[in-house]
Amino acid sequence: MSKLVISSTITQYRAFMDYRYQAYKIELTQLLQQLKNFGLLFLVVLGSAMLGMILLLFLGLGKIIDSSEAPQYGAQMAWLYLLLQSVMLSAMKSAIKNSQQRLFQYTIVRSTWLACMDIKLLLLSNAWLLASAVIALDLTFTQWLRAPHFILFMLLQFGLGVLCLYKPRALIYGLGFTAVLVLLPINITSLVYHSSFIVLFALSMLLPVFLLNDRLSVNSLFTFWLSFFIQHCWVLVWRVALLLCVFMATTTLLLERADLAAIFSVLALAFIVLFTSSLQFDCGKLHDKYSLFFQANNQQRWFFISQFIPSCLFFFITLLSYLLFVAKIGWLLLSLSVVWCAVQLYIAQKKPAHYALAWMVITGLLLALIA
Amino acid sequence: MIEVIGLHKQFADNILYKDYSISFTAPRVCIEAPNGQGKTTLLMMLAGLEQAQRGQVLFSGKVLSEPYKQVAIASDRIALPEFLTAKQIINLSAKALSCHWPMGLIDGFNFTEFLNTRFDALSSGNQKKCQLILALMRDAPYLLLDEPSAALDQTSIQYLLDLLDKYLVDKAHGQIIITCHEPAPFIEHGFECMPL
Repeated sequence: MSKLVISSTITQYRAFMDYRYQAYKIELTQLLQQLKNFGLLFLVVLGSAMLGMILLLFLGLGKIIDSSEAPQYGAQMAWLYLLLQSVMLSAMKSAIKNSQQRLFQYTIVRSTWLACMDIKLLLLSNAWLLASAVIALDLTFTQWLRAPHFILFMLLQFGLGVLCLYKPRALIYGLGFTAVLVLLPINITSLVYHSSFIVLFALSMLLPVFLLNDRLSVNSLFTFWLSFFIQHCWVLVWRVALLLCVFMATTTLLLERADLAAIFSVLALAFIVLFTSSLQFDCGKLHDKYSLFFQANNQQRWFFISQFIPSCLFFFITLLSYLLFVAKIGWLLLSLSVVWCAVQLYIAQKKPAHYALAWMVITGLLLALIA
Repeated sequence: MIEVIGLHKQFADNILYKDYSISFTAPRVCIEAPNGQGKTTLLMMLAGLEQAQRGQVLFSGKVLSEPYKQVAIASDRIALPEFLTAKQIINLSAKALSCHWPMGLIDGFNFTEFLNTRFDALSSGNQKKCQLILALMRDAPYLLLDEPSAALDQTSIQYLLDLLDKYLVDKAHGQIIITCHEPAPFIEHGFECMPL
């Protein structure tokens, strides 16, 4: 290959790289803008807690590395990290791949360049893997000998990122299988846990695509909503992932400071209400989009009512799980949380711009009452 | 006969209809008007799916309290659930409206092989067929079709025209109103062209 051709290829690749970086930045800015629109107040509160969250991230990684004493707990923590990473990357996937202009990209460059840029942007976006890399660089040789599974964990972080981009279905299957594994009462080492993770995710890639939705006979509002959630399962997955974090954090905090149980209960309930009632934003959007179709079908009244049911069901299931697996809550607080969820649903429907403010005011009031 | 009396409709400051009255006397009418004049909005208001600020619509001299029971409409304005397959959408509507599975219409439009395709993966012509099947299967006395021939292939247009020829045979007071930018084939089949 002549020098001229090589130089021209490099220039083309650089131009393509610039384009992809620019598209990535623009889409990410839009994504952040949407988050900002969703609740500026959340950003203010969560923004101030950012340092604490970063410290928690590293604390969790410490638990994964040092899990020789409690391998199952370490594996559960690793699974939660992989789930959270998958949720975050799923939200960023379109920006990473520049999905909107994917076909255009195929017309201008060869597919290997596309894959190359995808991986570069994936590495840049995967804060979870970057955090692990920072820890990995800091580990001594002796520490590495004690935590060989951490290499596998990082490999999983990278591999799951790739799965998220190209085989999201395998990612969902894999997360399901590994969830069962970490809940089984078995006594295996962390290395075996992580190796099993790799095997299960690899096997998930071989599984045929199972389109549950195609087999579903949609003939009622119930099956309509079921079909929606089957096809848009990420709206539930990210909420479940964050609720799992709340459950794990509350369990740990209750063990450490049982004297502050009342405060932790209010905070846990606040997040349960937040993550479950916010599902109404997705359901409301769907209702608005298809209301004419259901009106033409003479079902507008039931369709209007049905939009609140997924959020309510999600709230009650989460509350029940909290009571069964985390801690008991007094009847008064329990009743209040039900009313609170109903209020948040009403605000999400009628005055969405006030949703975050209402949540914070009620949380503050409840905390002030028990203080 | 469908009569529109003193209709007022505006979107923000944009007045679309101001004290507008019109009578559709012919059994089959084709409304013709340039883009953006409110043809689709008028059909949506006739079907009771959009509300006017003022005015009323009379069907054979009466105001229908639940127009969707007697009026069937096919329009791009009505978003169909794009995450469902065409079969699931038709099934959902058929159950809700207690209609029979429209086998004849599906066959007539050569739509069978697309039944298991998600609505958002259908071509625009097949999306139009799905809308038409949903409206036609109801066998309602009043049929409103918004741009029914847009994106349809010639065979399907011919099938549609044949269907519309026979549609009103068993509906004494029924009426078909369509909007169309290329009305020639419809006029040939007895539609009366009316400006908005």
